[in-house]
Amino acid sequence: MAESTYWNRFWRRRISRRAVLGAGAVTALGAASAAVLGCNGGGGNGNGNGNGFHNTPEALLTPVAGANVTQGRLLNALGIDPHIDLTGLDIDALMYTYMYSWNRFTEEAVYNNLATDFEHPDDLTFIYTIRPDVVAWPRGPAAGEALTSTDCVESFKRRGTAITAPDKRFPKRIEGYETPNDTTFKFVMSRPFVPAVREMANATWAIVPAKVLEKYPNLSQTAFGTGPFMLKEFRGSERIVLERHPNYFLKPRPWLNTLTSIVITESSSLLAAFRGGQHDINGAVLTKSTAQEFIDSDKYRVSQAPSLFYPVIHMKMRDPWRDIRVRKALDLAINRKEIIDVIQDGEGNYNGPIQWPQFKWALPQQEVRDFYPHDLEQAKALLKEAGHPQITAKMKYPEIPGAPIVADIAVILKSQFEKVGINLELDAVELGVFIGNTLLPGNFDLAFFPNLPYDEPDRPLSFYHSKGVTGSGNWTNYNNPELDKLIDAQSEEFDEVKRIDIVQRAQRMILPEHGPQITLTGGIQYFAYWNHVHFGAAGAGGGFGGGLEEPDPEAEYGPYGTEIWTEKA
Amino acid sequence: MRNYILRRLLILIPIMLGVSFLTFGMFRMIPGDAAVLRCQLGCTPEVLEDLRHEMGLDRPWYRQYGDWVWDIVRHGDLGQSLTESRLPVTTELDRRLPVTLELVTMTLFMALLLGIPPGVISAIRPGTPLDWLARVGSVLWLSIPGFWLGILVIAFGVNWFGWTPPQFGSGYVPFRDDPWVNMQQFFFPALVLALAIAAAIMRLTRSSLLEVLRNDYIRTAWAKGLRERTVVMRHALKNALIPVLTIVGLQVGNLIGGAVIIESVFNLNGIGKYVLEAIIRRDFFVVQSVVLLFAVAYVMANLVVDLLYGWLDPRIRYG
Repeated sequence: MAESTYWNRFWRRRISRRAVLGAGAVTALGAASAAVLGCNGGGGNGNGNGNGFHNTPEALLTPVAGANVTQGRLLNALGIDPHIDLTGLDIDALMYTYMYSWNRFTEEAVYNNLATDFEHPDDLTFIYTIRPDVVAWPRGPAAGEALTSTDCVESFKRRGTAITAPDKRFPKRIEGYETPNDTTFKFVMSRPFVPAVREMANATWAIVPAKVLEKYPNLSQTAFGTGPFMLKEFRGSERIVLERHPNYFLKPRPWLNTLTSIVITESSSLLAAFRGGQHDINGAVLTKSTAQEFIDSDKYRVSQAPSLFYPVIHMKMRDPWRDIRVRKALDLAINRKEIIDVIQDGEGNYNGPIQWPQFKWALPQQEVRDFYPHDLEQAKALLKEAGHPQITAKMKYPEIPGAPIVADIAVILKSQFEKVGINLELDAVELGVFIGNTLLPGNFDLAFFPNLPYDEPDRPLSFYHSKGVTGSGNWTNYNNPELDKLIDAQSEEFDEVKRIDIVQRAQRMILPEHGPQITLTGGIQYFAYWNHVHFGAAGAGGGFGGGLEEPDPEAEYGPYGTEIWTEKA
Repeated sequence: MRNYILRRLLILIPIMLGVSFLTFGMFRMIPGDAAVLRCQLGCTPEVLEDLRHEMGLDRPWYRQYGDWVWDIVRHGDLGQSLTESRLPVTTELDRRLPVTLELVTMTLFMALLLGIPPGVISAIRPGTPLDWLARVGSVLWLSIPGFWLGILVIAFGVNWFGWTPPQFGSGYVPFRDDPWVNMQQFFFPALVLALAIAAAIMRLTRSSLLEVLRNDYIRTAWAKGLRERTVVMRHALKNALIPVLTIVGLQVGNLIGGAVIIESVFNLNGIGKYVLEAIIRRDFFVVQSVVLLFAVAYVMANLVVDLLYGWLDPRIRYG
């Protein structure tokens, strides 16, 4: 197969000087909280790369080893099984080893983790050469033993078969595994699946020693990994204490002796703990206005990143929403600028079918803005023409603890729709009920919810596919065979330039449909930490997903968590 | 007396069965279940079915309830969490019970301390500035929601003094490990919870004492030339405390309800916070067990109150 641009970069990264110490993978603080609250970025499964730091001085500082850092955490970590539990992914990413890391900003795989070499002879075959010196913690069933290709096979199999493991489309397409020797791991797929490239760097694709999997079928409350930190104490609703793995392959990293996460589920209390100095890294959700006090103070540092928060309206394809004129009228009634001004403190952009921070895949911002005019008169005229000058409908949305932004946007939408004669009855539904009885069975006329913060184009497009995101049908009854073909095609196209073209064509096909999923706007997220905390060279990241500035291309850094250090050693 | 206590304890059995059955039934009636919440958005109908089977949610409701009750009777096993953690409920309750018990005990102590003395002063000095102050204070404490006051305490603490409760940084520290830190952890949550209860106690103490002070035997005591302290503390207050005691018993319910919120605000990992999170996750074994525990606590608290009546008023006899 001719090497495409996509894989060329893969290749270049592998052989570059940075290959040994490449870009770091980052899990946003509480990947699931990011998913639910739409606050932190870092990828749908939480192992995206971060940057977003003030670049210059960090690279010049010499890290101090041996310190302890405490960070706040908003959501409970119900479990830390890396292949299953979504609420503890940020912890998993610190304890386990992954095939490689992912730089979310440049959307590149970087070989600073288990794999050192890569071959892709055809679209279906993946061959990895893995490091021989990645050893397990000095305790547990595989104590001190090096990871081998057999461990990779067993981990991949488990990831693909566990009942509650998320999104199994990739593992289901794996046809067979081969382990010619301990350091060569090969798998062959039945059909190409390009999102797999991103997915293997996700925190749910941890490589766990096979002996551990054999002895501990349930890893929800315990862990025996090979990553930079070892589990010292796990009380998912109180505190999680990690300590340095003394035999980590990337010596002298990690710099920290311990990394403690304190769970405080009340947002204002969590912020108070940071302000009071009990936490070195803030875990509470910050907006521009709440971050301002930290920006103004020289005691703290604040970084920013585009939010992959992804609020959407779903329309059931039945009367009156089946009529494209009604859908267009609804779209025209939305004043996206007002949402940015009121909800996002004036900072943000319009989201097309793919969120604006997915720079490579999203449509140009100006094109999206031009497509979404706010025109009340035209909206009224369209409704009249469709025979629905007045519409009364119920819009259901989930009540998410700690995320009042969902209700706030719903209220704004209600007031905007009223101006064209669409009278909404807002129905706030408890989250569990919303998922189980509203969304999954498609039991709604209009449903408004924060979608997961995906950083790969395939999932956002799947919402428009007739098979939906689960592969068993979408919730809106929308069916567009032409669009289905494009969405399927992009998921099998390894040539990046061609894939971008298909993804953008699909979006341009979706926009004039004005549904079944209408996207709104996305803002900026803020992260604060005390100024004695350092995250290594720009691009290393340390709990913060994405960034506004491009990371230093010459910087060297290890996987997520290995570069964090503090002057308070 | 022994027969009376035994009878009251026996009544606990139908109460516990009723409470657990009602909780179980209500959880079955509301839509959404733990399997859906574990499955999340990537759920297919097939996966959901497998998961419900794994969690035992596909069995008939009477089997689910019957097995749960039978496990409690046979092994004292309250079941396990339906979340990914699968932690045994008994283990979690063991760990969290001391936190809630300490909070409730400290709250009751503070409520009595802040409720009875102002109530007495208010009753013996009616119409004075002290009386007005106590009455206004009681209305104020009854009107302010505890969770809001809790947030204020934390906000002022950090903004003015740079202080936040120790558990925000280290988690719960038991009294035996460090009494000073432990007191810091519980003082403000208990105070916030206690204020509303203290206000109710103060108002009832005042009105009850005012009524008692109008009785003939009190007038006789004054006529005998007894000192005010003797008249009030020895002769009037003891009788006035019977309705106060009743209200304290009834307030245990409010106290448990308040603890659910206050534990979240002050990050105390007690049973209240546990049950709140369990409700959100539809973790019904946890909710059933905790509600059962709360019901027992409520009944026992009121049994103690009933027994204290006899101590306050020797004329009361238990048949």
